Amino acid sequence: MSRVSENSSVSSINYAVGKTKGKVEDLQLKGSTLKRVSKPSDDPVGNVDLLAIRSQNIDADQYLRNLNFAQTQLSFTENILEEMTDLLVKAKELSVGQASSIYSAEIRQGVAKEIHQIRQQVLSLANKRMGNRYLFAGQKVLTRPFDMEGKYHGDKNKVNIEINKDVYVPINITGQELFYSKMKKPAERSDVDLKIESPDLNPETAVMRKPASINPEPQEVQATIFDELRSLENALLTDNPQVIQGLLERLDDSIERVVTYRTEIGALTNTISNAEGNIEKTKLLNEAHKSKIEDADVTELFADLQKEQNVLKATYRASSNLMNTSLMDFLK
Amino acid sequence: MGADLLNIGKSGLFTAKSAMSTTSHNIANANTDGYSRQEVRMETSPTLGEGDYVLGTGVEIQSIKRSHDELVEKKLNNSITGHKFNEERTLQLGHVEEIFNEINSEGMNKVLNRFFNSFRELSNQPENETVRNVVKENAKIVVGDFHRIQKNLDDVRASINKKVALTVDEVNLLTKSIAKLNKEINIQEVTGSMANDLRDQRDRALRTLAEFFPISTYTDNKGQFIVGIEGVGSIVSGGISQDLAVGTTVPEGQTSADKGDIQVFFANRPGVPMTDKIKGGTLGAQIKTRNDEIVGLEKQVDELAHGLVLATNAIHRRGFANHPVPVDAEGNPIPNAAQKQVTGINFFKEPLDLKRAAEYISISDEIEADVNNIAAALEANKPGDNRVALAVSKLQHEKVLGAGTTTFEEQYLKSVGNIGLQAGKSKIDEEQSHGILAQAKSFKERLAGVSLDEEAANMVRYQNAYEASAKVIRASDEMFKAVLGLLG
Repeated sequence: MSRVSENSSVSSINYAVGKTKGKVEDLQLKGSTLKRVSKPSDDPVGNVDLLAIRSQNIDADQYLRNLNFAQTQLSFTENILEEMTDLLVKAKELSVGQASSIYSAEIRQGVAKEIHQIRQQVLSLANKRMGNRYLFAGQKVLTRPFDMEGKYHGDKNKVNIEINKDVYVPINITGQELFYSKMKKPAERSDVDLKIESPDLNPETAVMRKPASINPEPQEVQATIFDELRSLENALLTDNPQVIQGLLERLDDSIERVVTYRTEIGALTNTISNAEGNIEKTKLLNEAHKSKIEDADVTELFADLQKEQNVLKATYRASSNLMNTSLMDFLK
Repeated sequence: MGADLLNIGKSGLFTAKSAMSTTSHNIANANTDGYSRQEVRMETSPTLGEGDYVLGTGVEIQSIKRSHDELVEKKLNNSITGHKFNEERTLQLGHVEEIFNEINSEGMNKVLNRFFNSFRELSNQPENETVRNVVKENAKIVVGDFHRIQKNLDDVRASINKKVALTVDEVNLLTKSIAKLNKEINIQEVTGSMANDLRDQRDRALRTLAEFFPISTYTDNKGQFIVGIEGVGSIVSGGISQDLAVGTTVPEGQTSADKGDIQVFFANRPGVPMTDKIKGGTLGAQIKTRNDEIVGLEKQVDELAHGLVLATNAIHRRGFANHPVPVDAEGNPIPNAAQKQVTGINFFKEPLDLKRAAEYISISDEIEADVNNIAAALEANKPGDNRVALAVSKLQHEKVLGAGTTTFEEQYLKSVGNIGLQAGKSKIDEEQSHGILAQAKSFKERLAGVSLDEEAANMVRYQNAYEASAKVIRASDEMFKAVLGLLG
């Protein structure tokens, strides 16, 4: 038979009550926040997962912002290209008739004036800005890309934007590639394809590589759309159908180039929408995962709470019986 | 014969009274901390041979013994040491853990992530001064959070150092009083009786001592009571106590602790710290948390800060600030001492040292002065060039730390995960050791504690014995009177 002393029973009551109360308190805290993790030690692994998920979500939000920015600039550019196509097509239609010798010099004078107008409009489109960024100046976004003579002051550089982890899209078309004619047909060009590529991020090699060309001076054989329009205007003024004929072919090339870029922007826009969908999906999955880690199971929680409260009540009752009776009560 | 009867009655009366007073002593001390119940051991008085018979001469007190078991006591002390270690460790790790808790608040992981994302935002609009300001502000928040972590870790460390010093003072008081008790016990027990209450007091002092570190006790062959710190050496031998002292000197070859941290040593041997040898109790927990977790975490946070500064600067210095630069025909910048610095700019101030990097991290003066000094471009005169900004944002996912094995986030989360694990483990350990302690306590109390029921029964028993002994005396008196009446 083991002895029971006053202190042993008191301390065992204290221990039992303290332990149960601790559990009830913990469950009540979880019940009031409905979270099962409130500090790292509640679930060390889960906590680390939570933080990583939260980082991914902040990243995702940033990518969504980047993506919207890219989207905005691309659709802005697309609109300009559309307007530009219309203008160039109009210039071509006006000139087609003039290539033959049916029309008189006076009519050609009038057409020349219209072509002059179109050239001014195309020039103003080429110098369009979004916010304070010139769209066609390459990376020299604060420099007006084309002067009145149609001379280019931007550079050949693309601006790439990260729209998802390690996915980059170029968001600009440089004045160089859009307005300068190439000796080759656009379909054969390999250097102007808008592709999703990651930029050279290694500063080591990026710097060692000679800056592609800070000097935008076009090669001798290349002419700008503005040159073509000016030549057209001059040919009309000087009443020279042969030259007009020749220029029309080159104008066709330019229109085709502008249209090609428009299509490519469309393709990029698709890529961006896909990326957006992917990011949203990732965010959704992350939320689900996060909730699984940090949210308490409500049913289980309150069942546990009820159980522990019952245990606590029983402990109190047992303790009160133990403490209120003693041999003294029964001695006369 | 009649006189013998009186004497027997008297011995019964006297013994019952002593037993009664011991019972009262027990009842009175039922709630005294550390009191062991006492018990009167009785034995028969020496007998008298009378002719063919042997007659009893009554009862006498052999001893008053306290209920005590050395093994139980030692087990209790061990459980106290074990539980106090876990309790203190949970407390200290709780403080540390709170520094890294960002479940419901901002923390390093989030602000670091925002910092990189602000560079990503900058890559959209490198020409935009507002975005540049956002980058700077986010960088400042990162710097601030490094300082916060560093300072909080330092605070926990300082509070531990203070606690260690205070503990040592308390230990010295205790060892002095134990030494004094040893002396008094020796004096009292010279006569052969047990110094029960003094021994209880000494046991109580030992239990308090066991809260601080693991103790060992024994009585040597000369009868000296020895108290030692396990793994260190004796701090009390008989009536002499050895004072402990604290200081901040770190002797050569000691690496586990930092300069400035409190070390514990014997007052008369200041060159030999025992700090690392103390492996339990509150003192052990404080020292372990300080030397393992806090020193480790400070190092990891320093590495993080240092790595961030170096990697960001290495890329940032290659970039060009948002200022116009005169260029030659090939587009290369014309070097000119008079012009503003446009490249080679540090984003953060270069750290002097890996150590305390988290404390000294700050934004460079250039960036502080002008956000246009944030270099986003890889080439001069290109406000739309975002390649350097992209490269900096890319650092977020690059394995920069640990000789190219982990990213910033992985490294940080590893530290947080580890502290969470340690804190969680110590909580479970604490719960377990609490159970063990409760068991050991109840074991001891069952043995040594006062049971009022038992005492009540004893009271009745001794009262009856007293009354009966008194009756014996009266009977003997009456017998005496009867004899005297014959004479009359």
